[in-house]
Amino acid sequence: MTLRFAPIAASFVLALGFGFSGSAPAEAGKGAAIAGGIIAGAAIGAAISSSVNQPRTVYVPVPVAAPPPQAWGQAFSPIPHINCYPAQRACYNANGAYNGNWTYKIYAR
Amino acid sequence: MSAPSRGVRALVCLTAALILIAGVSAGVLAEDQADDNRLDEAWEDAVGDQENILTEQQFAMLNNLAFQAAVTKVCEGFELDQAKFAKAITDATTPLPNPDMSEEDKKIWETAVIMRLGATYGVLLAEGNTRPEQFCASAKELKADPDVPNVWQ
Repeated sequence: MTLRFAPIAASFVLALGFGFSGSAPAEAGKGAAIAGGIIAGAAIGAAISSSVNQPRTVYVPVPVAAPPPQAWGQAFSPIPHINCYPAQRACYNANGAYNGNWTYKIYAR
Repeated sequence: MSAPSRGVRALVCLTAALILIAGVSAGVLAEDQADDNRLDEAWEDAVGDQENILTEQQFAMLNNLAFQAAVTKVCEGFELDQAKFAKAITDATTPLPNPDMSEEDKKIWETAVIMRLGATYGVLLAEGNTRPEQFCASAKELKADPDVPNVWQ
């Protein structure tokens, strides 16, 4: 993407350079600006024509595996006021302690 | 009041009710799934990287055994039955994850299991001593449930 737009960017730089260079007389400045414009136009045209006529390389992004979810803190409630943590294979009373009964019923039976 | 304005008013009321219900539901979920006595970071640090040495059922059985062992240290009136405890440890770690394990691999696996049990025991001791009333009440519930095996005397 950056390379595709490089000629256009360069032509703008050239145009600016020719158009505002130094303290030359007005006529010379006009000539320089015209020359800069011609060069810039040529560069833009080249860039456009090259993008039209040349087969375009299409880069397909390689699918990257999503990072695994943060499973350690994930919980579910088999009944209200019981939280079970699959990563730990353990259940707790909500707002309370480890619950051996539900740990057994959910994971060990 | 014109019919269109009554319709708009009803729509606003319905929207407000839905927002209220959604807010209350979210609050209940957040309350249910947070703020128990679980030492979340300690659990993750202690056993978070030992995922494949046992089955889910075996991990849960070890959790309950470690809990019952910790209860004997934190709560009054609980003693381990050593024979039941030893058998339960054997049951919880049988069968081997791979029957073709070499003797060396078996030793490594057994060490990992023992470390897992010890780490679990340690974190549960910490949880129990932080909130002993709730911890011991949970132990009494376990002992009273005839459907859940325990290894206490």
